Amino acid sequence: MTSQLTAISEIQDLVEAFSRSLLQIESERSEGGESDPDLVNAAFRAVHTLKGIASMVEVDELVVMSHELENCLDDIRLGKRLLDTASLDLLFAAVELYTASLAHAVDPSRPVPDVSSFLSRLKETGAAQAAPTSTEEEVSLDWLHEDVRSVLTEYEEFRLRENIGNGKGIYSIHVSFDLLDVDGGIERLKTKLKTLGEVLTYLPSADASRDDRIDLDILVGSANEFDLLRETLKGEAASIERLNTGGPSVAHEAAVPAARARESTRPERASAAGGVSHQSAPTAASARAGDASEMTAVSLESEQQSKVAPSPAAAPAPGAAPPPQSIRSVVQTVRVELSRLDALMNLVGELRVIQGDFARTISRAEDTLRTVPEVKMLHHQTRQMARRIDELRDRILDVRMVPVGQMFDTLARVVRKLSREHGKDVRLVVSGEQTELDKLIVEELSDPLMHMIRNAIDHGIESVDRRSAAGKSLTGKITLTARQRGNSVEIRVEDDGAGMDWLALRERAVLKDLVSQEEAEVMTASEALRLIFAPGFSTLDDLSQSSGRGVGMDVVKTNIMRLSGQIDVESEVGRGTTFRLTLPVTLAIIQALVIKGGDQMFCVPLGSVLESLMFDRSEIETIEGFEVISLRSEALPIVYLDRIFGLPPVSKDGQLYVIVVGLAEHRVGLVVDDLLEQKDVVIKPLGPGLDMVPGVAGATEIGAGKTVLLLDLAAIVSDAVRDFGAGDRRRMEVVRT
Amino acid sequence: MTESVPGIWQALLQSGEAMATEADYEHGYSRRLRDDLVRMVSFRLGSEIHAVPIRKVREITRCFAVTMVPRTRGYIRGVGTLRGELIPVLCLASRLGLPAAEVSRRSRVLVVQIDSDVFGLLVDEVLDVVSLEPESLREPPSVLGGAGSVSRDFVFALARKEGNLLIVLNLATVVDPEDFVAPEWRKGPGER
Repeated sequence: MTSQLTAISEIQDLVEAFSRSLLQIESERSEGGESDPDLVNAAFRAVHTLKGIASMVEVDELVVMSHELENCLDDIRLGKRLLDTASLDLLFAAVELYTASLAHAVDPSRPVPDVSSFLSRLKETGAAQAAPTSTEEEVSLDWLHEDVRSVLTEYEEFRLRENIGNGKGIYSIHVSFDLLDVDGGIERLKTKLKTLGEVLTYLPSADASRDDRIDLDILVGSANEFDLLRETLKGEAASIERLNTGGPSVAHEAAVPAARARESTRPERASAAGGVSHQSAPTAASARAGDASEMTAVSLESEQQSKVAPSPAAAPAPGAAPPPQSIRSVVQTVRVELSRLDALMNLVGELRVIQGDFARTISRAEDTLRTVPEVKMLHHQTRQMARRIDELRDRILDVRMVPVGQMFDTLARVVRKLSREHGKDVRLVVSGEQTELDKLIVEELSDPLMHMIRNAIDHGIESVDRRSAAGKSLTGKITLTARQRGNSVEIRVEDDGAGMDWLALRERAVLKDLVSQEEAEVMTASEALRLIFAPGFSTLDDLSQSSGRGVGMDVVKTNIMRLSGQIDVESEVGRGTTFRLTLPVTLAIIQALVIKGGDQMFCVPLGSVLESLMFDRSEIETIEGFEVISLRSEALPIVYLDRIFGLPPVSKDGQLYVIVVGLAEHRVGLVVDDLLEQKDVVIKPLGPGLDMVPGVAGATEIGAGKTVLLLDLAAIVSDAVRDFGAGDRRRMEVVRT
Repeated sequence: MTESVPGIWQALLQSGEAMATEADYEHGYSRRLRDDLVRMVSFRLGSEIHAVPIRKVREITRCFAVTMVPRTRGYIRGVGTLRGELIPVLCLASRLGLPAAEVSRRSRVLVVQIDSDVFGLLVDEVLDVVSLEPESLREPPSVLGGAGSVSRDFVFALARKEGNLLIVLNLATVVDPEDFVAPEWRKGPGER
């Protein structure tokens, strides 16, 4: 079972890799550039490996589907099938289908995806396309020596023809590598050549005159000038020639022996092994040659981007599998359940607490045993221990971190699908994919982000007609940006659509009876925009399929608050809307503000606190039965933590501490007795029963066995807001002081 | 010979101890008298003696610091940390409707495990581990509405041990996580 789960998560990774390649292919197509054949290769490889894993765990529908997809992709990379929009649509549909199949495999109660109709569609589209290469004139390869041609795979031959057909020059590069550095050398050279053109094939040279070197002939297709190639290859032990592809039968002297060598690698190796006196040298050389290219194949695999390097010892049949190592190379990571990391995190937290107790004991001992040198050493040693424990904690946190890029890829698919459904032209621009967040947060974040993107496409980006009328570029743009800012990550979702008219929002809120007329009149633009986070507020009356059911942004806001994050919105009519999300990097450890209320210690997630202030009791005013204080000439309603929790009130002489918390369009001040300290704390759930207590989100251990509750500010504030609402809908008027 | 001292046999049967018989002298002491005895931890709540099955008790500890959790029923003393684990601690006496316990030198927390969840039960004093034969467990009387002052729902069975009444508690009803939150703060299903 576990192994099946492992397999499924591997398959999931491959589906994501597949989808990533498709997205790249599409973006290259839309930019009008020449598409990189490596991308199709990467997609092909992902599907191929997927098929292998699926057949190991015997998920038949995945095997069948992958098999057909593999054929289709093979046809595409061999130019037998056009990579047009219809094919891309089908391939994207395959991604969805894969995802559904996986969901079904994990949870059989999920619907069985309809693979067969997909397969028939795949066949139909394939049949509908008259084989495109046959209609074009076949580029002649007569100039290439028969020996070379015969060892080229179908794919290599196709790429060669393509390059010639596109007017590229074909170059033969003869390189020589030191045996000890052959892997690195090939890699370096490949990187260089990649900037100039396409590497078509590697042919080991027969000219193995020296034991300590390996010679290779590389065929490269490039549109660049000969001189540029030569310039780039300066410093390498390489010679370069341009092959004459125009004239017939130019048997190039370099390529011929290379091809012969390629065919004869095996026999040579065998005969060398049979010999006695020269046994070691040639065997080593040719064995290394084989190893080297196999290794390259492996490393190429892991890059997921490059072409399949043919192994000279056993050149794969056209369209056949990349070497079986590819499966191994995909699985180079250890998968760990989050719960195990949580357990480790708990242990480290406890270790830190014990260390704290230890340090306290020692500092007490220091008071009385100041003269004993060992006590001083102990003091020093516990400090070191603390540092190590903190480091350990950070390392464990690191393991939980995943780049947000994966989530962005999923969103890119959503954008693609929705924009087609809505007949809008929308481009998603992402940046900061490498920004890392706790895996748990990423999981929880994808739904809110999905919703915001849907909103942007549904309501934000205008139709093409409107955009052209407004003089905007016809393609709408949604920008998704992630970046780290200290201990938090900021994610922005920006669209260049119609924006939101705050005056209209305000009016609508009055119509919906969310605010009174008087309240509305004193609302500022940013306050009015924040109305979209209020429950029951929807901007469009016609409910489209994907969003706009009136349960949108308030749910988003609540979910973000649950993650101890914050959300803000800016919008300008005609220019677009920007949502800014601020999230903690991790939830396992949170930065907490330790406070005192009703003579008990509590902590609150620092991320949910807008600011904390000290007030004098005399500054409290009462408006329509609600206590408020004035904060920057706005009325801030206040609630008391001790009253909320029914704790004994602590007599206060006049000073009050207020934590300002935001929820939807509201800001509420939570009155506490004291602000004690800021602290990184490991939060644990309260367990069955107590986890149902509203207003408490968990607990943590501070110091010697002291358990401190973590407040759920979202719950506390929303209760408070509901109370205000129940009393009087009317908004408190601005207090001028 | 055995008939002449029935009292001893009765006592031994009750305690679960074995007494050597003639057969034992012949064949050695290999025979066990009973193997279906239920082992219980007995403890004191005020003046009453209660018991819970020992296999539910993970450990018995001295009282540890607990933090009051607001919006919970009065018998929830709070949540404490025991070797890094968060454990809700209940005042068992108040849960059973007895006067709330006062923590003293003899007070202990029974750490019980119900399925995979762990709870602490504060008791006045832990007395003994007793073995009871299943047939000695009696249904609680239905007329009185309970045993002593304890509601019948919480009582699994009654037993006599050395002349004392032993109230065997039904942990499944005594420790009910659904009942921890004060009624006015409970939310309907799906609301959280």
